[in-house]
Amino acid sequence: MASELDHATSQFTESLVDVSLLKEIARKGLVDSLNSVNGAKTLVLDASLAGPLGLVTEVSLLKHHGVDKMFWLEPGALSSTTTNIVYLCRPTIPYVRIIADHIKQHAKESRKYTYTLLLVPRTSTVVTQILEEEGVLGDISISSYNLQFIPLADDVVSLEYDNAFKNLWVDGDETVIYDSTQALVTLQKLHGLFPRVVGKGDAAARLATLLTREIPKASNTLPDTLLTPSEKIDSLIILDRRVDMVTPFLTQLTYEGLIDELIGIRNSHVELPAVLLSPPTSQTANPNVAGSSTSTLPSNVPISTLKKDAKKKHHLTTSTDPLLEELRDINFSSVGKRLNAVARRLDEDYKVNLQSKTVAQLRDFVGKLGGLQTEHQALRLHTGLSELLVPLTRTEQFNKSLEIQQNLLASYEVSAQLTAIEELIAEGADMQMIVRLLCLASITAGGIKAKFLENLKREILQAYGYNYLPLLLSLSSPSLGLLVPNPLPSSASPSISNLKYPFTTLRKSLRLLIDDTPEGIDDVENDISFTYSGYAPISVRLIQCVAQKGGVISNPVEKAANGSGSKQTPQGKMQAHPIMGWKGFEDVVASIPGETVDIVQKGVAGRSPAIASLLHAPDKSTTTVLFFLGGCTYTEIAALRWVGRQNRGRRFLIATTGIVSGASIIESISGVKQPLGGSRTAMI
Amino acid sequence: MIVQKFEQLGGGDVSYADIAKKAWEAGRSWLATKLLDHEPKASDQVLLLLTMKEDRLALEKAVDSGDTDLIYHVLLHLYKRLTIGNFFQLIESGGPRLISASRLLEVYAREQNREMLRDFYYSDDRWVESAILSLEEASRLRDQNSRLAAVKAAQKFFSDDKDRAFEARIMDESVRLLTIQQQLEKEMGKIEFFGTSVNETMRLCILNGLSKRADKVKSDFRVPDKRFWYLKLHALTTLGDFEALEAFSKSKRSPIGYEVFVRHLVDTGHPREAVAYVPRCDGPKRAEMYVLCGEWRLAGNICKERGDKKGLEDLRKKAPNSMVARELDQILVGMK
Repeated sequence: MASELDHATSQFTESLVDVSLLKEIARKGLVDSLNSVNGAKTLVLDASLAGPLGLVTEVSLLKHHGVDKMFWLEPGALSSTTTNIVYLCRPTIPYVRIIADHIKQHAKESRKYTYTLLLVPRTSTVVTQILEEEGVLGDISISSYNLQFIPLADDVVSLEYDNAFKNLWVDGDETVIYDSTQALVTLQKLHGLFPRVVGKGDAAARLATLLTREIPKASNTLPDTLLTPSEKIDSLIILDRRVDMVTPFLTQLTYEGLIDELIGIRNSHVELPAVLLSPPTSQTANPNVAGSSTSTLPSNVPISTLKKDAKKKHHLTTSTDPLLEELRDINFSSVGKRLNAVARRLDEDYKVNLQSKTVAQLRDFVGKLGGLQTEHQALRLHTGLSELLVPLTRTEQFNKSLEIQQNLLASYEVSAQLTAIEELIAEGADMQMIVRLLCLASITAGGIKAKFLENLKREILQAYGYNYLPLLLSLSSPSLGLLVPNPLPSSASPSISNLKYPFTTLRKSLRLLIDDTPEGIDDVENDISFTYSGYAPISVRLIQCVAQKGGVISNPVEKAANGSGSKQTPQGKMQAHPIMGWKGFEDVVASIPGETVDIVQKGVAGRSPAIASLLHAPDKSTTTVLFFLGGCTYTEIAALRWVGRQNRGRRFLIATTGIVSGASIIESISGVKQPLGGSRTAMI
Repeated sequence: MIVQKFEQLGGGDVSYADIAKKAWEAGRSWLATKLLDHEPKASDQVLLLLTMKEDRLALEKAVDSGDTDLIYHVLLHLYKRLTIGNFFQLIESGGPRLISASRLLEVYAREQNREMLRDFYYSDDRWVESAILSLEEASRLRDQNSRLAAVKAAQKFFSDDKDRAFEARIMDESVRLLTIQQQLEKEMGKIEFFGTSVNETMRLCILNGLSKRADKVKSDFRVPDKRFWYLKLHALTTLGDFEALEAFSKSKRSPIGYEVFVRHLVDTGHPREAVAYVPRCDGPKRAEMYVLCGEWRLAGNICKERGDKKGLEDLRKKAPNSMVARELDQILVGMK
């Protein structure tokens, strides 16, 4: 019996794409690069890489390969105790200048070092040129560390680029597209060609062209995997961020999304009060916790009495946190209830201990104890975290902002919403909240009346600083078109009018607004709109158009639920339909600005897999890879996981240039660093 | 025909670039170009085209390849070889095909050669970009007068573009503000006004006892009443100057109401000060406002005055402790 089940699950997992492979590749790449320098070395690291590297390696691995000390790559002198200095950074010009300065400074002081530069992900002509101009090219050996996709979860991989959106649409720099292509080629090298590449958006089309062009017509030097369509992956769906700018500007309402909105998550890490993270055992006598006892129940000490200053970075990952998987994707309003249920269960489990009579029972319980301790710590963490979030969600500004968002999505009294936004500026709300709401108004209403827009812009610039003028100009530029007057002036470039977003028609054709009926089905999410309490992310709807056609116009769960009870049994789920591109939704998709992509990759003649129609085999499971070019939000991930659960036989692998939020996009475009957090009043 | 022969002989591993190079060296440049078209490795193609001085073609091919490093290579090579005028000309006249290259040049020059970028924008009459560049410069400069000059330059660029009247006016405001801030710093010494927003300037004035100056900024920049009132409410509370706050609140009918006063004072930990503002709130809200301040008895009295028995009962239900409960009971009794 057991072996049958094992066999079944292993068959299931076999056909899924294993992301840990990618982590291995990243680690090996780093190790090889480090080993290319013999002996002890000082590692000088670019701050933007620290986060991503932390996801694939630990300090101990670095130490194991000779890294004696680590420093940040920043302006100022560098002293090293080792002869070898290894720089690890992205090929950005300011970094290169710092390196050149170090070398020149050391030369002045007659200090002899061996310099190595590891560029991520590839070497750069510009870097070489600048080092040459600075006169230090001969002193440094340059190579690359090809860091590509980093697993953030079993089903999410990311390039962890912080500024992909800005690079693409503000700077017009296509490097992100090139790097993404290479990363996707690596996936193909591992698993075979994407049999079908479907996409939407101009940047997506560019990526698709580069990707499908990579393979020359015939070659003796390419691995087989690049010549044959994959058996595990049925398609690649590429969406570029421009195709749905509504979603990132809304406030995310899932647990993980809300943490990102109100506290901020960087490279899967969130900064939390240290006391939430230390285990409540009696051995570690924590002086900050009043009356810490051997009690095994969650501490009742209110957060406010604990030392607020001590903060620590915490890695949000299901691998060490048993509760996270259950909580991360649900609407925040349901989190309290879940935590209570878990607390009660843990309480019961501990009580069981009191009833242990036999040695066997006791031994059994002790065996489970470790797990229970971990769960208890997780419960404590998430309870504390929720308690941090709740007051932030109760502020007047937060709720006013939500109300404005809902009204804008419904196109209800747009002028009143603009007045409300002006009121929020007067009250001193966060700049990014205001700009997001304004862009949302512009996108959903097809532009803002010129006089109102000018007034609001002036209010923003006076309240937050004239230095934000470049931000407003970027948002209004032809390439972004996120903040435009209505009607457009005659002097406007024609490309802006081409960018006009058909929001009101999409609202209907993609069923974006769902009535949030409180009819007692809190536990059953019946549509992806749970992520925004009544709004379905356009990006995910588009993916449903390709990969779960039934879920766009209606809700299959509702239909099936009639008569069969509220819980869906696996046997009740329908088999996922094969990928047929945009079929059935061509008109909807065509109405959205941006190229539409649908390419079949057949591979090299005579090398197709033996089984032609794998997807029609009833028990066969496939993976559909989704690539967000420009970033995706936690809520979109949550929504996609929901979509993946609706059918048998299809799992999603979500790939992205990075995780974004409305705030991170605005911050990136403005180039001005904003402190995170929602409950502040005056600005600057 | 040559290409067909190679494909027949098997495999696409032929380096057409090598053959093309030979052809070019032999003086057969037309053949060389044709052969290069079949070279799948973009870098080989482009490098040879550069050697052949087929500059536009090299740039176009580089852009087609999507390999931004290759594009940089071509740009840097051409920048060295051509005169600056011809270099700009090549890129600007390239049309949509060369936009990618143009953008990359801007990204590079922004960091490495701002002079070049300035010239590039100027040569192409790109006033908005020139203005933004000036503003970026301004933010990097330490010296106040230089910063002021940079902002003025931005203002001039915007005014050269007839569609940028709004931006030109905004820059004008910015120049005026910076000038005022310079003056304030001269007078106040230690406080850093320069470069802050209009709001922050007013706030700093209020925090440092320069109330009249804050008023002047408000009128000079036509700051709407509501924004000013919130700002002053917050600033005076931060300062802890509740007398000034009261005087201010009475200076005219509050455009933001008085509930806001109560809430803000309670939120910032001054419930006792907040109580004074409750009577000025709307009638129906007063009970709620008193509760916010922790004045349950006063809230109860309001309900009694208004004959609101239900309201009183609601209050009684929410009573936070037995003492309050008893007080409310007394009032309730008085109402029956």
